[in-house]
Amino acid sequence: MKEEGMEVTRFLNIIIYGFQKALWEVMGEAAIAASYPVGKSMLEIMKKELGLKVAGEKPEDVLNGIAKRLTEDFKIAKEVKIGKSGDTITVDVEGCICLPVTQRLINTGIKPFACPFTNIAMAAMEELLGIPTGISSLEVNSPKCKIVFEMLRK
Amino acid sequence: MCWKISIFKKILGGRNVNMSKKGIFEEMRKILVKLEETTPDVFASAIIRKDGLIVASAVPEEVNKRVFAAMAASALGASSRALKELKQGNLKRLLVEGEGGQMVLMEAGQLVLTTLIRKDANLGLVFMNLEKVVDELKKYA
Repeated sequence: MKEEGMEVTRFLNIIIYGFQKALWEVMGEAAIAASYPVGKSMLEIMKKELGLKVAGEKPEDVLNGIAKRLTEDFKIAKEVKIGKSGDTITVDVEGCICLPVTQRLINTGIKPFACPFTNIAMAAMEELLGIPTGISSLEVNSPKCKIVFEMLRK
Repeated sequence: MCWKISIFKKILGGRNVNMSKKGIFEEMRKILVKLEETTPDVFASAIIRKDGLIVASAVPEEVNKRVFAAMAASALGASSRALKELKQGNLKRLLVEGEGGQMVLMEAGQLVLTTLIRKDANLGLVFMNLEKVVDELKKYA
């Protein structure tokens, strides 16, 4: 049963990879602009259908809340650690189920823009705190991944 | 394995220029105000990053700015890719004509100048003024 589940995850990852590659080929770097609308839709569905509750007054509280749900309830990753320094937020993810997609995209020369945690986090930060957020870098060192966000406070 | 968006450093943190992030946003907003004052055919404008984040804007309240910025960045990206695929060089500007007005998108380094202009606008004059703004924006991106 576990192996069956892994095959499904693998197949879904292939679909995600295919979509991201196609979008990148059509739009180039502008495909990153899809990150926010993608995250917004994911957040809406997760709130409505999966009971995700996101709250907090500080960016790290919001992100820690999301990280907790994604790791403990949805088992998307084994561990997610949030760090903040000024307007920079660092997210260290370990054992993410989407890591093979991210790795494959980077190997192909594509900047991954559909990382579920990143997209949901961006949408939540903007929705709850009104802070637009952009990705500065994404580093993969399997099984770990480091995502760096920058907040654009005005 | 790593990828970085280092191109936005100036806009993000003011790390490469002697200006705070707030200062940069304010400068950008002033650029848009000046554009609309000197070019009456421009009735809305925005400066966005190529990843769809808004840096400054003067667009109607009812517009979902974040989604609009993502759409503008995507339109510019797709047009630019199409031109390259057809071997027609770099994109100079994207002009979209609607029944009620026109939209012009122009690249300025890693930024995109987006403007809405009246349907009966003097395009030559508008383009000339937009190019001046693009040159000014290139200092930041």
